[in-house]
Amino acid sequence: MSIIPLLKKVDILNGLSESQLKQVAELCREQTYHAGELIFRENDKSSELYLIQDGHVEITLNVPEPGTEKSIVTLGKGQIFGEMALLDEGPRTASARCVADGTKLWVADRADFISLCEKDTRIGFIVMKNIAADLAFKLRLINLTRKEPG
Amino acid sequence: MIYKVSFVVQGGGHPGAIQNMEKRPKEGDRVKLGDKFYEIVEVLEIIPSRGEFSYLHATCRPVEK
Repeated sequence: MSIIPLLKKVDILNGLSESQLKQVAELCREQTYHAGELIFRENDKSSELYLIQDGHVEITLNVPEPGTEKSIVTLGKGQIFGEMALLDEGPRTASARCVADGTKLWVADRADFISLCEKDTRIGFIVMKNIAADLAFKLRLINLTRKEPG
Repeated sequence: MIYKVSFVVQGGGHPGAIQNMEKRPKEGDRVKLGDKFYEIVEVLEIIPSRGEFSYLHATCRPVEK
């Protein structure tokens, strides 16, 4: 299955040409997860960026009570996660878990992605600018959620 | 146009969600966030569109059974 149609609908790749999208596609591999399956855990070493092809992924934070997690957002089709690893190489700041059976993700290795961005700096500029905008969008949602009474 | 929508659920019972939609959501639409359905009560454009992408914020409420 070609990933190009999906990549055209991913806003962090907005502005890339067809040939540039093909270069990104060459970095991606497909993975399928089941409901409740953990994709990565908070504080894990991070090295991959994920794109949701189909299904939903819940992002959670550990809370002080042992064995408990707090859900902070649910991400659906076309959304990316794990992008902070692309930027700072730090450990995972949250856990990611699939909500539904058959959730399909595309996964790209950080080192491969950075290498492409350095080789083609136009790709690098567009992707990094868009990732910054995506993080701002997520912060706006968190701010709006915090204002919601309840 | 692709609509990237952030969803906040009234009452704080859901952490919120972000997903792409191919049709602009409107009041009264039902959306599935995770494994549950919610009804949209308000849609706002929060930042200007860029290229083929429009950025919206939708407030929802749980669908009563």
